[in-house]
Amino acid sequence: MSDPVGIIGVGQTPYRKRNSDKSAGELARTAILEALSDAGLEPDAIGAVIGGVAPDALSGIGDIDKAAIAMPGKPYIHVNTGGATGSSALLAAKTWIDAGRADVVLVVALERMGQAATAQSIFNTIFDPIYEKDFVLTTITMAALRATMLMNRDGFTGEHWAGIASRNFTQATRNPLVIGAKARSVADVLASPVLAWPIHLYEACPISEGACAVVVARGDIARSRNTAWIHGTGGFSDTYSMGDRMHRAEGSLIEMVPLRRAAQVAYRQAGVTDPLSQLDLLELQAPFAIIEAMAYPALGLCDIDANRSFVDKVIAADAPIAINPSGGAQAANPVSATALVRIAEAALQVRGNAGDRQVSDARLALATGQGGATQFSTVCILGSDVP
Amino acid sequence: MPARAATSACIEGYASSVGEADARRSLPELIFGVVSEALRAAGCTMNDVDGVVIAAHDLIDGRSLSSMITGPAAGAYLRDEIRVSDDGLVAVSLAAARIQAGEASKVVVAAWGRVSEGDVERSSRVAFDPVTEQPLGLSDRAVSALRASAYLRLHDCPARDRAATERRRRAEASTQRPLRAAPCEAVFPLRPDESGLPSDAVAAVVLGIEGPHVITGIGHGTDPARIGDRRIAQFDGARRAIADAFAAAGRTPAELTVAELGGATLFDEAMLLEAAGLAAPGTGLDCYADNAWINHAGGAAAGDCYPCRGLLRMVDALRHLDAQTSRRPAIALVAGGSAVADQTAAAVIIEAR
Repeated sequence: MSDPVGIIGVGQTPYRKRNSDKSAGELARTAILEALSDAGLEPDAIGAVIGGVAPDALSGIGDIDKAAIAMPGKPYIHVNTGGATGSSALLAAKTWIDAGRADVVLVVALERMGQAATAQSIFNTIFDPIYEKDFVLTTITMAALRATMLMNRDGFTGEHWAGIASRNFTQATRNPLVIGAKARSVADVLASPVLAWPIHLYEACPISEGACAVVVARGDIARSRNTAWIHGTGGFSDTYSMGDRMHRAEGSLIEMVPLRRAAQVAYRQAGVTDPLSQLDLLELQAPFAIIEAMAYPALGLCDIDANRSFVDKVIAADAPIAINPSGGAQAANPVSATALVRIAEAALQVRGNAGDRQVSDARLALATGQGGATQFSTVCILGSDVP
Repeated sequence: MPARAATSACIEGYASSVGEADARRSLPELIFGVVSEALRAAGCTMNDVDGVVIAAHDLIDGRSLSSMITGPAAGAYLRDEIRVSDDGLVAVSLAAARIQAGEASKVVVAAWGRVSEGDVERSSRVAFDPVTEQPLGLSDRAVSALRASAYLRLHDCPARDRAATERRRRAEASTQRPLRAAPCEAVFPLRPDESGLPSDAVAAVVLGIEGPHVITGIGHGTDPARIGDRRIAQFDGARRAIADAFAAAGRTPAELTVAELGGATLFDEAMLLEAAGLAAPGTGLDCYADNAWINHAGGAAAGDCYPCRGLLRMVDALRHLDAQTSRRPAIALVAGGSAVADQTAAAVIIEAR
């Protein structure tokens, strides 16, 4: 069995719409220095750096990570899996350590999307230039199609999406890193403009900039610190074609098949057989309320046919698990970094360092990563105890 | 820490394609064809594969998240997939790490770049600092020219013409070379026959735990980001990567029978030879001209497109290893650089069993 690996340091900038007074390098540096300080390490201790920036066009500068994150003399890899970039980078760091390439790896994810003229015009270039682009497909319209599919299948209503969003916004007010966090009621959410029916403005993630860094280590370095141990990880990808995901045997578009498979792999590694009772909290990379609702059955928290009643419990604060104590991606969604933020927040929780948003006695946490229209999914389970 | 673990990754199959524009075939079709060929060469199907590691670049592919559409064509459907926005050799390194870590026993590595659709030169320009570098018109091609200029200032280079002629001869002999493509526009002091041949390129390898070629060493290196902060004619990042790969493999440059250096131009390739310890400073062009086992297929002159370059050179090296009949142990070095203008580099030592 390989030496256990864990997160020994976390650093984050505040997340806000735009950082006009800071360069990409300054944002990354802030997060990196905080993570190293938290880990009690100097830069010389780092064996490799794994950076995450995606999509390449969003910041207006190509390969922006190379100047902002890469360190001369250190092996460097630039990971890009869309919204899952941060968690994919973390998984790559664990791979690097398990392979014996290094004892300490720095993972840094950076987002500068506030520099883009319009983020959605860039996301529109995802789609086929002949068959799809003219429908003005974006990340918002893709989520809307899933929402209507769920409403049609299970009887969800707009109040469900608004209820999830309201809870996330309220919880974000306890997270000082979410700049401008404001509690919003269900009525507030439903009164906000419709972006693409049925999705309202306040059911969608905001534009967010910022950087997140974590220090991953093994061996005595990890054992001698307050470490969030990695108990299980999984990563799966899917086809991007929504039509191909409608009626297939493996599961339909709303079943989040890659997330389900990633969770199954991670649960197996972590010895989790009943996630609802064994996990203390979830940090879900769900940039839309609808995506969060889809994640519950995929993570095995409920049966897919019982999802609506589970969502009712979540909205009524009656679910036996803490969900997005940080406010989640709906409160701040720095695309490249957001999946690493979820892992960083889970690490803070199981290390007991989450401040006002700390979940009492949190010992086992699950963080997800989602990219490319729920095409790329990752799961990372972190615990207080050595696995 | 040089990379050699208890479980070494092997290369079980490989394939590549370099060609000119072909509007009849989409990029996913090109990728699917090459990955399928590599799988056939490995004697397996995607059902045997645990994961996929991709090297591709959004701006070159013209999509804001390239692997959404291209990943499944490389086999990334309902299995583990990760993409790097780096050169293909970085993807090889990460895939080999997955095998060394015991996470996977078979991994597909695929890289591509299609110059007939993506403007590689323009994509490289936007990677430079918008305040201090972009106004100078810097691009990867311009930096290669600056490197050549610095090299020519330091060295006499009497073998320049001979090396260019030999490189062209090797490229023209390569069966993989696209026939109608034209060399890219040369930037002074580079000449057209010292440049690369921009192509629509796809390469793939299947890594596993068995196979005729073993990856015995991997190294990485990183230069400062700003061009002015680098020793422009030294390739320090590549030097470090290659030294670490040799150290991990327990090999020396003198033991090599194949060397494939992934430079964009003849001068870049020659400077990488010096960084590898295969030639003394100022003699890289002589070494290139005199040794047919170095970039035996003509390097970038036989077809080139970032970020596929390193993986193309690796497939060239594997073809060369398979063709060698000498009793001497067949050992190959492959090196390649990533954005921005080879700021980061990776090197791999491959040995025939």
